[in-house]
Amino acid sequence: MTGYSWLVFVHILAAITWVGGAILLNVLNTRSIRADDPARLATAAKETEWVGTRIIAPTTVVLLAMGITMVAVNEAWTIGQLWIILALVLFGLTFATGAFFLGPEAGRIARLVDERGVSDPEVRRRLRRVVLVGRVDLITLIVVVWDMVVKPGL
Amino acid sequence: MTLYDVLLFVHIMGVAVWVGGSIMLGVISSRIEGSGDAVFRARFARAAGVVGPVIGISAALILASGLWMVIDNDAIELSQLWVWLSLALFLLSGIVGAVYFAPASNRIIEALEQGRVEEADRRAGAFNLVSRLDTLLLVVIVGLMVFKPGA
Repeated sequence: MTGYSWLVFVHILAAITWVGGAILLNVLNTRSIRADDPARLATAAKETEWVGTRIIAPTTVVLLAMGITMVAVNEAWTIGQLWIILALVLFGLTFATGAFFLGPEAGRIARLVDERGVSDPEVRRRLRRVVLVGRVDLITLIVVVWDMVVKPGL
Repeated sequence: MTLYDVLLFVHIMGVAVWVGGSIMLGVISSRIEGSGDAVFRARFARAAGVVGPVIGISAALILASGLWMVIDNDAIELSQLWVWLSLALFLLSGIVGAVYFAPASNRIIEALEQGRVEEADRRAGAFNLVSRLDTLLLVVIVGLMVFKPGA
């Protein structure tokens, strides 16, 4: 059991929490929209914001820190390798999407639901948009997992 | 891209859905329970019921891809400690999931919908405890996969 193994363990746990959590949120949010239940829709928006800022965001920081440390301590990895460049670019993209759009927008939607009710056309338009962006973000995350496994360019 | 890469990707995605989904569902469920609204809690528990089949499918994919990797890779044997112990813990978690979670969840929903909030709280407490232990078990399996004791 080496120090490097611990880095891999924490890195993988963080990735699992992020990707699995994002999939779960997508499933629950999609079901909420289909069910057309105002209470469920409002909860989905509020929980997405809470989980996004308090669980997923810190997890991504841990994930990045472990990843960079692994590159630093393992002579076989360098930042210039294609799979690492690709992972960092996609990570940056999905991190920015979550931090600057998905999380804050879910919070704005939750407040809008409280003010106008879930039947409001603006609320519905924003809910659909946030779920769509969430799906695209999820695909990006899955591509990052594929990149980590296949390591293109090695 | 080799067959082993594809199997490993499917295996890791399956684990992400199962373990990551369980962690996230546990967090959200705890928050919903804290709301104190019985009707709302029952609605959420019903909505969360969709997660069961999703986890079931991911468990099947994990098992199939894992066994295939053992067959495909000469360096991995079923007799290695990390492989058989992971398999045993995986089966234990799978059995707990199939035998306990769905019926226990239905009993909580039933109690909430019939206004038996105290009973629902008691059952939810037991449910959460088992759920946390199960998640811990899954994290141990991830540890076995990474550290590979006995390899």
